[in-house]
Amino acid sequence: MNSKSRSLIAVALVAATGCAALLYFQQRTLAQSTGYGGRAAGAIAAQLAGRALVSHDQSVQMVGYFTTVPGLPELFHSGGPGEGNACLTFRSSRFRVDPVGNGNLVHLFSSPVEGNSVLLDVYYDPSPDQDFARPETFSDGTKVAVFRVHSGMTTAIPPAYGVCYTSLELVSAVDFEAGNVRVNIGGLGRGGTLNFLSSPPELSGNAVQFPFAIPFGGSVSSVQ
Amino acid sequence: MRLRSWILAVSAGLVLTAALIWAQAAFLRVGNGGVVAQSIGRLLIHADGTSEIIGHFHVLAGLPQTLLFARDPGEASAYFTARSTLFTIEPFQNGGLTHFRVRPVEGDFVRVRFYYDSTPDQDLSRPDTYSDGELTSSWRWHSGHGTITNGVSTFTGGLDLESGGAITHQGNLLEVAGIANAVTIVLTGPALQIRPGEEMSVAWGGTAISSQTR
Repeated sequence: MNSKSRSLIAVALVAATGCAALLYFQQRTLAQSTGYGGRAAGAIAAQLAGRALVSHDQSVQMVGYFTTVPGLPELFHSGGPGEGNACLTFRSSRFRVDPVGNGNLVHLFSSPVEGNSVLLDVYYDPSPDQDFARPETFSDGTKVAVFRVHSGMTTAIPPAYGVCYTSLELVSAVDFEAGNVRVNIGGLGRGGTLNFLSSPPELSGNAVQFPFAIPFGGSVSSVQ
Repeated sequence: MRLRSWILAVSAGLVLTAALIWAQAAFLRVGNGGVVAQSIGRLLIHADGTSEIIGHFHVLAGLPQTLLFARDPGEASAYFTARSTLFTIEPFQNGGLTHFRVRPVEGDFVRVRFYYDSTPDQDLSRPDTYSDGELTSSWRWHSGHGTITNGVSTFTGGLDLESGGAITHQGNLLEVAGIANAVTIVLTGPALQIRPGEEMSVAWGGTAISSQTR
């Protein structure tokens, strides 16, 4: 075997080792992402309700609360569901909305006001007092998880409603105590697909006047 | 001399490995159940009663906007497009709702084909401009069901990958067929009003969600 052949074999061996390492780490990542009580891809991981709050500068943030999370006990402090007594809440960073017209539809895409990504933080607050007029009340609990929001689109059908699908990619999560249960939302896996419906904005008159709020409600399905 | 050959060989191997990793990195690996793509387009209903779907991708498996559009985002500048084969729409009533399903004009299934066009020029009034690029993958539209209610139509369906390959786009090797081998699509648009003999162009927005079978 001459030196040229040996060199070719060495190239092949190193490349094969590199590819094997790449495949190993990809499989390892997938293996780590399974879980959340065995929830399959596409299964409901959470249900939620909230508002998209549009500010004077036309930036938007989402605030709201979870109504259902499988495996979590009662999510409300007392009484029935409502923002005022929800223990698990969320608040997003601010984002801009870029509209794209398409006949009588308008498609909306988001981009962050600051940083590279829109983030959605999840909070646990055992003494809830949320009020949609005070967005900060949705983030005054303990931060228990952070998701990166990406690949989303909202299709608005004026004047009826909007439908949104977007990805929530888990960035970080910590353990917390909910009642007598120890929970880590990181068990969700790699994240989820958020789908929600929104109604027309709540306006004081016929004309659009900032700020205003757009109610929405929907589900997060598991991504594995 | 031998040592130098080995160093060169190992270096070449590492460069090849890095190139492979870099090429794979162009597409975000979407988990099962995750959003693969967001698309915008039209349902074209022709005067003879046949219909087809055309559209372009606004979001595609993590690709940056510079790899999706040649200029400002819009149908005319989109590198990645889709066009279906012809089908007919069969509506049926359910109380106050109207449902519909689609039936292929030819063959057993409607196909949706994805194209890459390095010099995009799509025009909604010329459906052929959505299919004059390089065919990247073909998908079998195996199921679907639409619902029309006051002001809104929704359609949910399934696509299975039949064939696909890789393309090189701005120096990136993109294995389009590697993103997913099956997707669930959800299309939303205004209330569909089918009037026989009338040509229509109905706007829609759609999401593709990975439903991998492997």
